[in-house]
Amino acid sequence: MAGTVESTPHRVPTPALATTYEGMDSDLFQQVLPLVDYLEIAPDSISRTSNGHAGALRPELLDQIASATPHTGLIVHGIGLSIGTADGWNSSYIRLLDEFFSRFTPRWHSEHLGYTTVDGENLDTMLSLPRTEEMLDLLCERIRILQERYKVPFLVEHIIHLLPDAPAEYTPAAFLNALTSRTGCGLILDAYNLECDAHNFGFDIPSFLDELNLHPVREMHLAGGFEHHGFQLDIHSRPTADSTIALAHRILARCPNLEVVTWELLKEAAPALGASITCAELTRIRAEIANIPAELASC
Amino acid sequence: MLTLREQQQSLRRILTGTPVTEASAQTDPWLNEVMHSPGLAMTREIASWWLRFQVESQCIYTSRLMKHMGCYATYIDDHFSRNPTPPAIEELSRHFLTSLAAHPDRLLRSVAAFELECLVPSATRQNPALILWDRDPNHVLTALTQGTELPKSDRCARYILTIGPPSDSPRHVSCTSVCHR
Repeated sequence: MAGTVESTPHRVPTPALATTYEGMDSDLFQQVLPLVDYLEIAPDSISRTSNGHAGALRPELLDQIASATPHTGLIVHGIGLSIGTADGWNSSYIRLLDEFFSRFTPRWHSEHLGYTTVDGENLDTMLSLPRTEEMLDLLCERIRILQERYKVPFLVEHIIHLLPDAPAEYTPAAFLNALTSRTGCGLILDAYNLECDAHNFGFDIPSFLDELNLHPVREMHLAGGFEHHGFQLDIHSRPTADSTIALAHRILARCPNLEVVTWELLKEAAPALGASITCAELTRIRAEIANIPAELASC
Repeated sequence: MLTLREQQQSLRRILTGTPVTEASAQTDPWLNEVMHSPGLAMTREIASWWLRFQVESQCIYTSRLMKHMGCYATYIDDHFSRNPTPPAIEELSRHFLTSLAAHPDRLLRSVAAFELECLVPSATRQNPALILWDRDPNHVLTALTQGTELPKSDRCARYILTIGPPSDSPRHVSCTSVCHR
């Protein structure tokens, strides 16, 4: 896109490392920047009300992001598109994306396979989608629109389940396979989300990975959360558990096109975690993704 | 068999504790399973956390004062169970702060009004906003920032905080005290 800042950094031999950016204290920002190749921007998290209407990105945060390019690349990861809402997605999020793309050209943009609004009301949470033909048709059409509107790759990410699955016509992997093959979109595999589902519902990760077409996987997410009332929660507040790193190694060994590993941390959790732990975690993950155990690398 | 839209509408009602009215939804086996699943309470709890996080990050002084008063979590849950959450998360703070305009606590009304006025873009402000305080707002905001003891209500004076024009700066904030004895 003419007139925008290109944000693809130099090619790295191992997967690049990214972390969440939702606005950052400038001291932490300066400490984190040298440790990552990409910033993962959630437009929803850097926006504010303008004249009573949603849909304006905060200029001071856009300036902070601009100060990081071109040495640091950008990827966009949406929260509020609500791509699976039957009565239409959240158009105010599209306006945020338009504004972001008018200034930057991210490596790609992505969204969760879920929905956050119904009849214009926010659910205050994200719910998973029924794996049906009807939903597949709806998603494929909306992904096509996104791909035409923004000339960078579009990726989708599976989310965790806390409620029983709706009646389904596809297995989780088969649904993603159908989606990627029909649209050409990419996938984000979230190692921590898979672990949450395994813990909460006995989700069979090895079978899922065996069935899933891993070629469209371009990005992997890592995070650390906690258990509450017996549920492992998708609340990115802690360093990554060793079990998640082990799963990440298995995924990395099998995904030939995986380019970026993103460590996600909620803005709200950053002060409690502190800059030193945050930076140590990024350094640790950088080392881990560069050193896949030999027995997995040969798979 | 529910349509996709009916399925999502029914699930929204279940999450917000609103009765599911459609006969087809009342007898739907999957919705019935959802209503009796342990994940439902967890999903509701996460929604409440999320709201509190969002409001806390955008309404720093008001949320701190309400926590100090011990009414924050209860108020959030109650307010957003009676009022739909706007689809854009950034609208949350405006809804929340506006809702406090009639709160019985005078200090809370002042702090919420101050943060609400701070959301108004300076370029669009036509008239100054005047906020009445029963104690020095500088001391209140400092105490909320530092987590120290809040000043007591001033028996002798009222304070008028003025935001915006007329002045040479649209972001101008000034405070005057008025003796009322």
